[in-house]
Amino acid sequence: MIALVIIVAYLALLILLGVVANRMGRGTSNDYLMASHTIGPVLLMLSLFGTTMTAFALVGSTAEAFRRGVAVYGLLASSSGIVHSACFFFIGVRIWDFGKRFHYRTQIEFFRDRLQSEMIGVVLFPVLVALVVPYLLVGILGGGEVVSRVTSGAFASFGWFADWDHGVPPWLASLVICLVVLNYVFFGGMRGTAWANALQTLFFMAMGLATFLVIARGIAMEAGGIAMEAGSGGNLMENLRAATLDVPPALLGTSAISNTAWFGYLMIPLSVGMFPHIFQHWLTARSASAFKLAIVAQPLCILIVWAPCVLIGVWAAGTAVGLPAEIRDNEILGTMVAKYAGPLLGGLLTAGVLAAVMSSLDSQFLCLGTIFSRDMVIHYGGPDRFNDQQSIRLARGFITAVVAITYLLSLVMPTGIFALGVWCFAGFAALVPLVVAAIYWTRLTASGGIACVSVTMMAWIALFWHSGFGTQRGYLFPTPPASGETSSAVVSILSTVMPPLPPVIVLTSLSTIVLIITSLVTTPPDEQTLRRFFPSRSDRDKTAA
Amino acid sequence: MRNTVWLLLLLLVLLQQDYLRWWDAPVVVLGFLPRALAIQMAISIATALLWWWITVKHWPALECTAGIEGGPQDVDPKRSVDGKRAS
Repeated sequence: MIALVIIVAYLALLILLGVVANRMGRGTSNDYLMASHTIGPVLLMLSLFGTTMTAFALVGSTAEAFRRGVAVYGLLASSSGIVHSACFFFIGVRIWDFGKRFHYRTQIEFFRDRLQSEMIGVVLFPVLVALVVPYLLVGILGGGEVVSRVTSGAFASFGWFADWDHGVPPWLASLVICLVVLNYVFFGGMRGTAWANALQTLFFMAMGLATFLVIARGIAMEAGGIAMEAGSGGNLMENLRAATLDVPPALLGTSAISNTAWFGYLMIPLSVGMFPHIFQHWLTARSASAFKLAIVAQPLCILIVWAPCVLIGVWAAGTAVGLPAEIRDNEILGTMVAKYAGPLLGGLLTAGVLAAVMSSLDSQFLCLGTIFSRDMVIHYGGPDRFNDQQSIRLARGFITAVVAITYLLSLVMPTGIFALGVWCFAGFAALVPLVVAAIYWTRLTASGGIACVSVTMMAWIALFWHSGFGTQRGYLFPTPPASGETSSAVVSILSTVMPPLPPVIVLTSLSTIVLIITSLVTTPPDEQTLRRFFPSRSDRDKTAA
Repeated sequence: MRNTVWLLLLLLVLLQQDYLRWWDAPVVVLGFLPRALAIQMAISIATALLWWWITVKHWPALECTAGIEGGPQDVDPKRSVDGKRAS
């Protein structure tokens, strides 16, 4: 019950934060959606990091390390450190520059203007929304599972929720998480979201480290190396050594991961370059220099969060812990916390996991509202048809609808968080060639962009379906049929001409090829547009003179 | 100098990918840290240092700060710089 009280108190604090941010807001849609472009380096860094870390980083990484070992850190954490910072530097800073000059608030506004095309917005809007939904699911599923595990027994005296060990059922926990995030997003807008992100990022980093230390101590004591009654729990190094002692050797190396998989996972973090909510955060920066701290700190922050989670995952596979191999992926971290942390710390640690989950959900919720109100309602309805308050209300209505659909999907979704996250990220990563070309390639055409987005989405749906909706672990395409099995003619032909590859490589290669070929065979963009986005050195000199 | 920076970044990526499987063996350092994990953590730290160098020495020149558009408040978002309405 103590854990539950702490979690409820933490959620109440977030609601209060939204109310305070609301009182400090300026009441305009620019302030609600962009925080009036006043976000400085520290808040930007914490917001960007908090937004990129979700249940995928905490719950998913622990579960994946339990199955595949420490290689998971190399697969996604160190690669993300390199790639995220590269995306902030090569894409984020340039997008901020365009946004500042031409007043963009969404990705679609940028692409419409850059490609001088209405159709790119029509094609991109459903794709962005469809790809954000699995990302929302990652957070909603992860948060619900962790709360359920940690609160088990809380309602034993009432006899409630026996099917969930008398803890909060995952469906109820997920629902409450959605409602709390909706609340502070609705009240606080971008300013509230940025503040909540900063608070939650600091909180989950601190709690992640505390989880790590507490679990190491608990495993060491359980292994019998240190007397629990003494209360000292041994020193840190002794605890860490004892926790690692009986980890299966196969989980300490990287041999289980093929070179192709390594490369595939290097491409997954590219998705940051096309996340609509990250795009919106980039635009909130006060200045280009505000990006510097985020670029440098991102790899270090990732290290601080991921390394402990990965170690907890491999410790969980040790014989001293004794978790059953058939345990569900999403339950591993929650089970470790429930087993080794007391109710007080367990509640705080769970709040830390929720902080990571909600610091992504809030940005995604807000972003969905922004792209709906800006790119659909105002764009097609006309700028004078709705006032600020009406457009904010429409944004909130759309957010509520998408969250409701996502929540209902979370009740029937069988896929693990890690697999679901990887599929969502693969889709966004495959769209990154579009934004890179829009920034750096003068020959990109609207047809090239539209073809890229359309083909990528069709291919993503086909592969997701072919993989059993993400249930097939380590899915590669084209997968050669096993003996006695039959496969479609397309898969059979492709498997003779290309090696089996992770979906992210297939999708990104395909989108790049389609984008380049279509752009080269269609009419080049007009000079006027190119001069706006790629002013030559002579133009700049003339202006300066 | 700029090429050196990008070569270093490429080198970090190659090290991170560990094509030669130099740190594949299930060896533990400091008594608890798997070597593969320790190396990848070191790569994270090296990445931060390299990006710090890049942001200090190779920060891009931006059109916005060069003032080519005359400042954000001067531009109608629906209009291109020559005053024509964007389609």
